[in-house]
Amino acid sequence: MDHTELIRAMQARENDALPRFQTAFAPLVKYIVAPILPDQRDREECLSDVFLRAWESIGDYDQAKGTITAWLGAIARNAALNRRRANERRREDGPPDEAAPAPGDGPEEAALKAEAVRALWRAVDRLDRRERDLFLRKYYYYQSTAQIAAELGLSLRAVEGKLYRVRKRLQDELGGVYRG
Amino acid sequence: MDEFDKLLYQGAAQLPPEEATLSPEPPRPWKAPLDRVCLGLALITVTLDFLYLDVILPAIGTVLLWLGLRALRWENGAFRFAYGCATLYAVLRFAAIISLATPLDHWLAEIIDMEWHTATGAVPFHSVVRVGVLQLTLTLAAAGLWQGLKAVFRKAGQRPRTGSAGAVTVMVFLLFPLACVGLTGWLLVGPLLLIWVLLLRSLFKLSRSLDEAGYALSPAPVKVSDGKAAALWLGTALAAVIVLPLCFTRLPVKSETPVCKEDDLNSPLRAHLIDLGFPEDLLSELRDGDVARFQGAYGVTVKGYAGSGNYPDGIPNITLAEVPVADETYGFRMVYLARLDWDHMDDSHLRFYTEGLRVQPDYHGAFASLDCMEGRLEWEEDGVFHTAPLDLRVIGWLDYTADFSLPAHPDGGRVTGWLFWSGAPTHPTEPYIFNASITCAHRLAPWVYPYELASGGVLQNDPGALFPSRSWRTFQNVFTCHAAPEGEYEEYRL
Repeated sequence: MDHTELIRAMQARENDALPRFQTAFAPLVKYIVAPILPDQRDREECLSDVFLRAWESIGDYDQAKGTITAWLGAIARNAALNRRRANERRREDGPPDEAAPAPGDGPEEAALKAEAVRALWRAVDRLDRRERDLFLRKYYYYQSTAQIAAELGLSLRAVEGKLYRVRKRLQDELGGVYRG
Repeated sequence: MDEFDKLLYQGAAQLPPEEATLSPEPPRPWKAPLDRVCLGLALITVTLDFLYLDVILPAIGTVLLWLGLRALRWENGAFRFAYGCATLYAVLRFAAIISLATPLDHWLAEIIDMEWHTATGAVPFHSVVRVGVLQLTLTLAAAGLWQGLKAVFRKAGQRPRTGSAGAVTVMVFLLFPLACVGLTGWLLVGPLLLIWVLLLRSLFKLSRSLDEAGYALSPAPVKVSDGKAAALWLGTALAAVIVLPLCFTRLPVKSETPVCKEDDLNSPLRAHLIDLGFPEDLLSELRDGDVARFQGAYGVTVKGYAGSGNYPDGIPNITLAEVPVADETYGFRMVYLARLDWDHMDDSHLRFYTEGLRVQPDYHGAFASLDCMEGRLEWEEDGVFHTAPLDLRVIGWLDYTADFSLPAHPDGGRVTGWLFWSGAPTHPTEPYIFNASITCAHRLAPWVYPYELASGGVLQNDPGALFPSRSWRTFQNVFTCHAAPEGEYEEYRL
């Protein structure tokens, strides 16, 4: 479906543009947010955040650089992850987010972490299309194995096996970078 | 979650660096199921009648349709209904594919014995019922898909855009009555095909137009992966199609061991026939009942006697005896006897194959009426004389066909077939020349798919067809026959 007119209306700040935009893209945002935020209230708040951010930054969107779904998907995912990190920071027993430069990280640690991230994405880039899709679903979109299995028409065991092979391959490729 | 998993989550949480060519377009959960449904419908309905593609493509299409709707079955009631219909359709379709490897269709045609007449010819009624049930099930599956898609749009809070799915449903429904009429020619089929291609294109467009609404859709979990499920459907059918034809290579031989009374080899009629030129050894093989057909004979012509023909492997040597006899009603009748000799056939030829005969007694309207044709097989097995009747069936105006298997272990590999017929002349006072033919078919291969009897296939084709059958060997014997009243026959036939 062509959303050019809807995007133009959003960028022109037309009155009915945001409700139309929300109607069109709410299922996408919910789909991306749901696996990252298990709590229903968090999801609803995140949904509002996402559309607010989309309304504010639609002027920066350039169709030549990517599709609206990829652009909005990235906003939704980042908003959901930020909320998840905030929740985790509030709960002391949650796993700390070590990827984000911690306030105490020096420039050297930050550079090392950035290089590790770069190495990971280079390795992911070398995976074949199906393996890359699996990686993105699991580690980028936080989808559960059950959801991946259902959407790919695979059994749970099959997905677990494929994910194991993807992890093994990445582990072999990344070597010392991710073994510390 | 182990340490490496945690590191992967943390690494992936960062946006990809500039040098990475990844495009993290969000996954589209509806795309694979709907693509399979669309491709499945396309393969089911567009069939190509060569290299078994008319079987293979619909089989693959059926599995794709089933897989696509299996993934959608938990989404809403309409999809569940469509999935149920797709399952029933798959069962019926594969049952039909497998049954084509067996004589089931021929048995049903004998039991039901009704035909449906289309513009292109008659088809067995049970085939029409089968196609009708299949088409109805497919239509219901398409209707379920249509309503299910509507429900997805509603769930996403959007206005349904499912016109093309509705149109496909209508087209699937219309295909059955159009098939029953028997449309032929590009003028009729061409536009239909064009509409169908456009509609399938619309359905593919629809799968894309679901876009954001499609994210509201949750595919159902499966215990057996799609690949394994597809392999199970197709593998089972393939195994059945490979094995079953080997179980039905032969027709039953209705063998009898008659207690024959001693024939009177010195009867006046036999002596008279010998005087007229009937070969003595041929006559000695006939029973008194057979010889009685020639009562009132005033001439004899024998063709193909003593193996004068050079017959290919599996094809019998044919001798035809023509005997005009006096008849009170018509003035005279023409009586024919054909002896078919299968000689020195090794066991493999006899054991695995079926044979076919087509007798066309009159190409040129020489006969006003034809008596019912009769025939039998004769052979000896372990020194015991056996006979089996030939089940001759009339097709068309005066043609007869028979399907049979030769006995498995005749002594010396020798089997004799006898055919008898007689006809009353159209012009009782005039001599007449006409052609008759006997076409023999011999199955060459133990595996033939779909199951085919010679009478239903190769014997109805033109023997000089552009593509000769690879499963059957056929051989046509054409005889020039003469019909003439008493006193003119001997002179005329010369």
